[in-house]
Amino acid sequence: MKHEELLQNAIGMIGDDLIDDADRKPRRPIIIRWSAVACACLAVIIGLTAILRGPKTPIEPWIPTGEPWRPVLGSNVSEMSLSATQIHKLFGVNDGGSNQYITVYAPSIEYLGILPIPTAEFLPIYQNQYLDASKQALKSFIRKYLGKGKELSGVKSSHYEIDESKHSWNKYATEYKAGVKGESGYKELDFIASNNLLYMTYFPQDPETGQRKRIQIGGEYVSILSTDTDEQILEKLLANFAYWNSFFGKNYSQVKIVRSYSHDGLGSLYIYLYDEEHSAFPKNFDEHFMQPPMSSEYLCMTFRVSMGNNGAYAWGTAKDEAFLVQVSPYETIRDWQNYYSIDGKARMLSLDEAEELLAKGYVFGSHSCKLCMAEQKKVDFTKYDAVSFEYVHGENGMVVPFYTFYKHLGASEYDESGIIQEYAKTYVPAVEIEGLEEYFDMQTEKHK
Amino acid sequence: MDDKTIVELYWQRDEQAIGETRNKYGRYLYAIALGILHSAPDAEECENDTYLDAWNAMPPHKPSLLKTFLGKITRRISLDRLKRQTADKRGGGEVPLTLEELHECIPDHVTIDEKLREEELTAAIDAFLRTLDDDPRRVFLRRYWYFDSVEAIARRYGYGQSKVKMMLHRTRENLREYLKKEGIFV
Repeated sequence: MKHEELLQNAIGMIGDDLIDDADRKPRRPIIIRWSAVACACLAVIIGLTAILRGPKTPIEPWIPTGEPWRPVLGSNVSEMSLSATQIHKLFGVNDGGSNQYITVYAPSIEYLGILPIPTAEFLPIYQNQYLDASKQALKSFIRKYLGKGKELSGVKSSHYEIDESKHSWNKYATEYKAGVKGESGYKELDFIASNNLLYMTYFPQDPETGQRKRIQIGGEYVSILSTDTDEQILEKLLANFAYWNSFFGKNYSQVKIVRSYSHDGLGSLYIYLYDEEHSAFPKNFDEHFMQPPMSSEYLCMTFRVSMGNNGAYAWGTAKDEAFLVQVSPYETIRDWQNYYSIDGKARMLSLDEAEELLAKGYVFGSHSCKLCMAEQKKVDFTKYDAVSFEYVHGENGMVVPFYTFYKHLGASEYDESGIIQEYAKTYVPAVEIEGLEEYFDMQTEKHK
Repeated sequence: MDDKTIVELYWQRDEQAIGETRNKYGRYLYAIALGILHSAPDAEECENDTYLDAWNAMPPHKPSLLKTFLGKITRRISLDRLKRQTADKRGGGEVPLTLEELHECIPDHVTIDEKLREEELTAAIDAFLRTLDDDPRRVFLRRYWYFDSVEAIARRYGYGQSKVKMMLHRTRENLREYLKKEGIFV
């Protein structure tokens, strides 16, 4: 047999997961194609399907496209066992046990970011390596963006000091922060080097009122209505995208819009400008983690509905308009595969098996507090309204997969418009866990 | 119907298994066969032969990924048929072209250990593919597993054809180096 035929036969018998992965339909990202002539001539290609929900909620949800995530695990990844005690620590739980669920808010289920369930026999268990940030990288980043930061924030000084800190939420590694003071006397321009990211933030304040400023372009405030669809947002902000690309000397052509809701309405919008060519992530990973696009560099435009104290709408409008408050450049310091290591793999539970655990009440919800647990209204999840998939990042660096079950509780009593709905969300491990029965028996004993 | 239930039907020797398989994966299997044979009647026959092979393979096999288990059967049947059809000449289609391309990976002048089992070569190629980023890996498999044309691959992923050719060329070069390093050929 000829060598190439031998190769052809051998290729035919490689791992099923690789063959199936190659058959997945590629994602179609939202792409903005720039005209060489003027911003007004830009053409936008949108890959979303418009869903009209009636007069109250004409908003398009962001729905993950493409087929479920299928992890590709090397043959050197060993199977590992996880205990219920390890899992409960992911949620910052103390001896009192965990809440049954947390509450989340959205106009409807489609806005909860429900992801398709992966198809896999094994799922990876990750470990955040908590590598120290790089002071050198921060200095280079500051040199690159200090001028632009000053222009944005109005800060006049170029003097900065680098603080070395260990944050309370990440006490395992060093991060660096450099601040530049503004006229207010406070640090209004910050450059941060976390374990994996370099980014710039600024808090321009009105010296008279002390309120945070909204960003104006050409004397006009940049704003989005809370009822704007993704298509409307893109159309409205095309010129802005071009402006920010030019301001930062970039040429990003892809957009991701992420909305964050609170109990009384839209809270924030984050619009990410990025370019897949600089992506450090596998293409299906950014959807899966529901995080920023996690490309090696991107811009984030932050819109806030309110910025007052104690919930006051300091900008004088009702909570239906979100204003641009920040545009931040981000760069990743290291490839995510160096930032998260794969500790091992664990057998994935089927949805049937997860439902069995759900029915038994073997769920994890939130931080532990006996009073919270006692007061939390009982929710019957056995007739859940949606199921999704999520990796939970523990404080100890462990990153473990879960099924997340949602139950609709009704309209939020805090939203006068009646649009925002309240959902209970609970977590069931998506992989085999040892000692679940003993752990939950122990919880029951502690609450007697 | 999910894969587990379909496989169970095979194990119970319930002929409904064939119907369910056809419903779920018929188009996928037909597409694989058509990509190799470029003949609708031949592709249809290979698809049907796949169901017979699957019936004979389960039990004892109990695949967790039924789709690719069947896909491998179809690929093998289709390639065998193509060889019989083109025994005395090189026909058209992508398969002969891919063979010429793969020839770069193990040149004529080298020797492959005669005792090398196909499984060892498969394991080496599998390990190599897992070292690749997603894009070059998927492009490689669309070409050499699914026998897509360069044009089809370019259209699928939104690349230019020259980019696809370059990716394939680099991956073949890297595969050659990998196989050499692993001692597959001397």
